[in-house]
Amino acid sequence: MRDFLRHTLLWIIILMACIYAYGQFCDWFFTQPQFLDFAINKRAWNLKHKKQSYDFVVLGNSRAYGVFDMRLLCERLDKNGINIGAGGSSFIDNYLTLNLFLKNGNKVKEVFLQVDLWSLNSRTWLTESFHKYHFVQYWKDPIVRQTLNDFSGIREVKVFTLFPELRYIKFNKYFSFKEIVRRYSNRNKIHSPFDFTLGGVVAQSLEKQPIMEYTQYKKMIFKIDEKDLFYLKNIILLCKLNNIKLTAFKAPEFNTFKESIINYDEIYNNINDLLYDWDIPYHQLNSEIDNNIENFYEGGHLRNQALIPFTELFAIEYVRYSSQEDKP
Amino acid sequence: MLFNSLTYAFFLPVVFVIYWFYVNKNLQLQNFFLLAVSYVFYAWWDWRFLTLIIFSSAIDYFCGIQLGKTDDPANRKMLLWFSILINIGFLFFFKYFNFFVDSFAELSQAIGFQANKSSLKIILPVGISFYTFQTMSYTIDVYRRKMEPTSDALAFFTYVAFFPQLVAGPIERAINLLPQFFSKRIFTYEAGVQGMRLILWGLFKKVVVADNCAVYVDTVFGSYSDASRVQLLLALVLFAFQIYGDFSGYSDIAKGSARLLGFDLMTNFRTPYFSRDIAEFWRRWHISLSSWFKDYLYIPLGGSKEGKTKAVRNTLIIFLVSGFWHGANWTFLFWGFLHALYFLPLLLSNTHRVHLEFRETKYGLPTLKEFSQMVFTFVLVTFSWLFFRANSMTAAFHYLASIATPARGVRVETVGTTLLIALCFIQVIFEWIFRKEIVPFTNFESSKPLRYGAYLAVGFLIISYGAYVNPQSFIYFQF
Repeated sequence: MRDFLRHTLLWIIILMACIYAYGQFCDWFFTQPQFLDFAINKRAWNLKHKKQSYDFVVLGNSRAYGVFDMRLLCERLDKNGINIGAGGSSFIDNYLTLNLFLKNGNKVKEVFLQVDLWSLNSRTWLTESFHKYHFVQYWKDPIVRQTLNDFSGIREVKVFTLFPELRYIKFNKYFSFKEIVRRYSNRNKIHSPFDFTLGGVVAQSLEKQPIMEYTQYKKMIFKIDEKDLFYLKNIILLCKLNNIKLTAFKAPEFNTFKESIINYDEIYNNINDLLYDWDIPYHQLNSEIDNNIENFYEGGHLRNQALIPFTELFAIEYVRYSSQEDKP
Repeated sequence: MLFNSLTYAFFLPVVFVIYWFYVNKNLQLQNFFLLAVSYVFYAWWDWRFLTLIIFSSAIDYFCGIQLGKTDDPANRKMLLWFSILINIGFLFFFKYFNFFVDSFAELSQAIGFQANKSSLKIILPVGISFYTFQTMSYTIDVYRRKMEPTSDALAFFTYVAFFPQLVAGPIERAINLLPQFFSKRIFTYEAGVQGMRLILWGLFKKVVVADNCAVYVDTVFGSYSDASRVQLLLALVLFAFQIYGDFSGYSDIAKGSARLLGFDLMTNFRTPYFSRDIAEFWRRWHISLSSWFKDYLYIPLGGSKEGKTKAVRNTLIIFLVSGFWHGANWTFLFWGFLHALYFLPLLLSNTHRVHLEFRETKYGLPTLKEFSQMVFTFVLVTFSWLFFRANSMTAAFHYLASIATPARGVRVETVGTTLLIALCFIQVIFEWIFRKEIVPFTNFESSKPLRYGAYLAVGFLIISYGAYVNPQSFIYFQF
C-alpha cells in the first residue's frame, strides 16, 4: 500500500505541477498584446488598446459593431471614437470588455450603448449568453472573477478558487498548445482591418449573404431577462463610477421584421421607461432605412450601403439632442 | 455522479482511503461501508429509486433463501418465476410501459379505431436494466443449483448495489462477483496499479474520444437534412467511435475502480472493432450482456443444438431481445434485427466460430485479408449504429436518403474534423497495442521509459483535449 500511495501521490504532484506551470504561463501569454490575435479577432482587438483617450466608445452586440461607419461618425461629431462592440456578445461580455478596456488605462468620455430586444434576452437569442472563455485569462481581475463565478456552479467556483489554473484545462479548446503556437507565429501580424475601420464592421464577408425572404420571419414573443438587465445596470454603474456619460441607442430593424415580433412596442416602451428612470437618453431612430429590405442582409443587421445613411442620421440626432441638453 | 466528474474524482479517493485505512478491520465493516457508499453514489441521481434497488435485492435474497430450503420442483419453479416476474415487471413498467401504450394506440388508429395515448410520465431509474439482470442471474443460478444461496444479506445487498458497476454494468454474474464479498479484501500493489491504468485509459476513451465525437455527431444528427454527404458519413463513423469510447470507457473506469477496492469485475469489451466477422464482434462487444443472453436465454431455448430452424429462431430471438433491452423504441429492435441478419449467414454456414484469436504477421500487424475483414465488419456495425442513434425509424431512413441524395452544397457548421480523426486514430493505435491484454499498458511493463511515456502521453491528451465545457453523460445510463 505504501508503494502504491507513494507512486500515486508522485504522479498527482507531477500532474498538478504541470497544470500549475501551464496555468501560470497561460495567465501571462494570453494577456500579452502581441499574442492577442487581434489581427482577425475583434474581441481581442478591443483589448489591445492601452492608455488611449477617446471621446466616445461604441459598445454592444453585432448590431452595435456593424451599424456605424466609424470614420464618418468621428468626422460628423468631431470626436475621437472607437467601436468595441462584438458579434454575439451580451451585456455580460460588454460589461467585462468595458471594464478591461478601462483597466488598460484608456480614458473614455462617453459610451454609445446599443440596447435592443436581443441584448436583453441573450439566453434565448445568442448561441452563448456569456463567452466565459474570452475572459478566463483575466481571472486576476476581481470583476472578471466575480462575473465568472456568477456563471459557474458552486463546486466549480470552489475548485477554481482553490486551483485557478484548472480553468485552462476546462477551456482547453481555447488555450491549447496549438493555440499558443498559432498565436506565437502570428505575433508579427500587427496590422488589423479593424485599425482602419476604428473597430467598425469589416463587411466584405457579410455582404455575400443573400437577402432573407420576408416570409422567413416567424412570429416571436420577447421578454426581458433579469440576468441581462442586471448586467445592463452594471454597465451603467461602471460608467457612473468612471464619470463616463452613457447614451443608449437602437440599431435599425426592417419593418416587416419588427411586425413579426408580437410584443415589439410593449417591450421597447419598457426599455425606454427603464432607461428614462436611470436618466439615460435612448435614441430609437426609426427612419426610411427600416422600409427597404435591401438595407439589411437579414432583418436586424445593416448592409454596407446603409451604414452611411444611418451614421448620418445618428450624428444629426445626437447633435440635436446634445444641443437641447446644453440649453439652459 | 458521473465517472468523468469532479465529484467522482473526490468521491473515489475518499472511499479508497476510508475503505483501506479505517474499515479494513473486518469483512462485515468493509461490506457495510461499500453498501453505504454505493447507496450514496446511486442517491446522487435520484434517492427515491433507492427503494427500488433495495426491494429488488430483497426479493432475490428472499427467493434465494427459499430455493435453498426446498427441493420440491414445483415450489422451486414458482420461486424462480416469482423473482423473474417481479424483476421483469419493474423493468416493463419503468422502461416499456409507455412504448406499449403508444404503439397500441398508433396501431389502433392505423386500423381505424379511436385510441387515446395515455402515456404516464415515468422516469426511467438509472441502471435498472443492469441491476435487474444482475439480481436475476443470482436467482436463476441458485435455481439451477450452479451456486449455493447466500444467507449473508449484507454481502448480497452490496453485490447488487456495488457502485462501480451499478448504473451501467458490466452485468456481473453472482457466481463471479458475489463470492468476492464473502472474504476480506486485501490490497495488492498490482491490483492498485491495474486499477489506475484502467481508469486512465477509460478516461481517455470517454472524455477525449467519445465526448469530442459527440459534439460533431449531435450537430449532424440534429440537422441531418442540411448536412453534406461527407458530413453524414463521417458522423456515422464518429458515432461508432463515440459509443465505443463512451461505453467501454465507462466499463474500464468501473473495472478500475473495483480493482482499487480489491474486486475483479469481468471484462466487458475486447477491442471489438478489430473483429473479423459479426460473430467475433459479439464475442468482444458488451460481453457481459451477450453472454447473459446466451446463458439465460439462448441456451435454455435450445441454442444451436436442436437443428438449423430452431437455431435461426433462437438467434433472431436473442438479437431482438438484445435490441429491445437497450430501449423501448423500434430503432433498437431494428438494430437487433439487423445484427441477426448479419449473424445468420455465419451460423447457417457454420463459420461463426472461425475467428477466435488474433493472428498476425511478424510485424505485429494483421494480414491484408484479416485487415479487409475487419474493415468490412466495421462498416456493417457502423451502418447498424445509424438505427441505434436515430430518434425514430423515419429519421433513420431520412438520414439514409440524405446520404443517397447527390451533393447539395449545404453544410452544417460543426467542429473541426482533423483533430477528431486524429484522436480516433490514436485510440485505434493504442487499442491495437493493448488488444491481447485485459489491462491496458501491460505491454509496456518491461520498459519503464515506455510505460511512463505512455502514461504521460495519455495524461496529456486527457488534459489538453478532454471535453470539459459541457460534460456528457454516459450513453448507456439511459438503458
